[in-house]
Amino acid sequence: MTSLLRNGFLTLLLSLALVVALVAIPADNLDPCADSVAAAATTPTWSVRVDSVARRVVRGHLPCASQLTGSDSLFADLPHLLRTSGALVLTTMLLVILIAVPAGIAAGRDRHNAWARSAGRLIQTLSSLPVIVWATAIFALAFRSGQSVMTNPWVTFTAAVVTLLLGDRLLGDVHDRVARSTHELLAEPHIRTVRAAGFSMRRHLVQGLVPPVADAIASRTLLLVGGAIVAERLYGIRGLGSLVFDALKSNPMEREVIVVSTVALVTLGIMMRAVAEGAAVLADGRRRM
Amino acid sequence: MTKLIIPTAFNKRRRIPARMLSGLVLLAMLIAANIAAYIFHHERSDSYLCLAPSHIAIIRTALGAERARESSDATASFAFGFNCSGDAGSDASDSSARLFGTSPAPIARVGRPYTYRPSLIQSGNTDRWSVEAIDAAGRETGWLAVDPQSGVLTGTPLVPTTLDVRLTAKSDDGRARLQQWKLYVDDRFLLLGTDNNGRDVARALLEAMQSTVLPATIAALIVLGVGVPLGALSGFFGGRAASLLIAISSAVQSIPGILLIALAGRLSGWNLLLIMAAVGVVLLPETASGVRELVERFKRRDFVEAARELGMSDNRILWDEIVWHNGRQFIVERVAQSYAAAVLAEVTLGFLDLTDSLTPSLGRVLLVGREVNAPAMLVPALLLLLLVIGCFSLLPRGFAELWGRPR
Repeated sequence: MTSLLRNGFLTLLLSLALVVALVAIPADNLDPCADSVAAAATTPTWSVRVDSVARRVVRGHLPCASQLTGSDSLFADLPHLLRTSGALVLTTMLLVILIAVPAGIAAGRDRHNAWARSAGRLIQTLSSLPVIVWATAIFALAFRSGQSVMTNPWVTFTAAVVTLLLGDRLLGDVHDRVARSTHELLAEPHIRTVRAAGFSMRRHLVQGLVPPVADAIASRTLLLVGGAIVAERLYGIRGLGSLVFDALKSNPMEREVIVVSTVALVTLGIMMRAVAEGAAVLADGRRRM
Repeated sequence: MTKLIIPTAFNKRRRIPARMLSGLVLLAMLIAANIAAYIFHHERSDSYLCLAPSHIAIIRTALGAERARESSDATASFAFGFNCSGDAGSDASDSSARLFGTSPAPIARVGRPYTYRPSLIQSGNTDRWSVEAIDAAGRETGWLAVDPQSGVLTGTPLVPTTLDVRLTAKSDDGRARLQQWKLYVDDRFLLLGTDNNGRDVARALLEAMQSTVLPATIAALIVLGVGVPLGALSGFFGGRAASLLIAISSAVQSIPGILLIALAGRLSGWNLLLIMAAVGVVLLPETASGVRELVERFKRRDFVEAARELGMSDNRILWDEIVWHNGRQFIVERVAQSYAAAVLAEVTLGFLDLTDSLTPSLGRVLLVGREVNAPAMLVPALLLLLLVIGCFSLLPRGFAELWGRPR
């Protein structure tokens, strides 16, 4: 728990630094409602900057309807946005576990099995290609078949999950880690004893594999969140990532939207990491958080 | 892995791993492409977002000598015929822009079929379509035909020329809607052909390479020049520097890197060099942490104690014995990964439409190719991206094989 708290505290400090940086850098406009040309003519003082941004960030209340969210309160939209981004990340993570773990166990149990080796190589090759390559391929395939991935929200979500699943290194990493851990685990004396005694080693195998899988997931959760925000933007899914990129692109830049969205995304990542680390601790009694 | 045997200058037979050789060949190709991009850089204004450069001359000829003198640069030429997005330009009336939902491709290639499927924003039930295509001499061309029911325009030009095309849709109530544009028929050789709007794909890729591959060196240099010494020093001497490095590394890795890079890009006005510097800074903690762990692992080994006993200085032990002889594989791998990550970050930002729209980049070529669905643009751009990734994946493996070989 200590390392988690330290990470969380440091991330909070970094987010605070981000807020200070956003406030400190001279803005073309601090008020999203105002005309940018008119605002550019007047340079707001430090106190106005701090007051303007801090008030909106802390209260989550925008002085007028945001151009991006269309509502006056950013915090009112936050649960919905967080749910969308969270669903994308969690679905991908679940699919990674469902695909990579059995394939990894098969590869680890018998290293000379041609099928398992081929499957492993395929997974490694597929996951070495970046998100944008897969997104482009999916868009091109959809166009070839005369359909659009953007019409039906479920199709859009599925396409985003597939892109993220194949484009993020998580699939390859988890497969690799599981295969290696299975191979090592099968050589452990207690597993050999269980096998020699004729008992099922499934329970021991699962118990032994949870920590490495959880470690692999925990170390790459934040990268998965990074991939998810890119996928959201590519497929036009209204989540936190899409919002934060729109805020970055908007003119004038909606700073409070960026700050709140970034903090929410980081919180999402840290929470998922905590869950993964918790699972590892539960499975391995020798470990502490 | 197969090993190629090549003779060296000292007439010894030295083995070069095939992976390394492949990586070096790919790297040479990338560098050659960059040099080519710099050599053919003279007409920057006609980037891939606008027309292919070979069409500028045709536009000027079509406009006549007097007008061409007025339009001293290529950008001015566009004002007469086309805008940079390849849509029908100022020649088409404003009303046609509102009535038609599609824009025709302004370029046709000699000997290649030209097709345009127009669509009206408010289509009548009984629209009748007709076309009129007149060349510079005032003669009507015969190759362009229209289907009166659907309005699909087809034909294959045989000679290079410039045409004034007028496409009309008439409905039963007597309403006529007109779309008018200049069509440039070109017969120049283009290496990779053109996209749906007649833009030169090879040139687009060359320009993109120029702003993708070389700037990524900045990120790799930051990682190599700052990350490696920082990690090595904190790992060897330990203390608060190491704790601080761990803390900073954890904090930076808690925020999605692409978000920090995009933020840096926005605050710097999408300056490419500053974006690359931001990529370097984002990748720096991970490399520094890796080097720190590596040095911490090796500094407890017996050979370090032996070196101390022999009177070697700490600096020599660190840089020569640990970093160079035992850590160089890891460092080369990290620097190559950083390079590929920097290219990928730039491509991702371009693909997400987050960079300056007038700066060519591989990501923007992919974005434009995706929007107009031009496989002629998408496939070479994707191959180029894979080439970069492949190159920087093969090279470190090749070095690992070379250095890891028993002597």
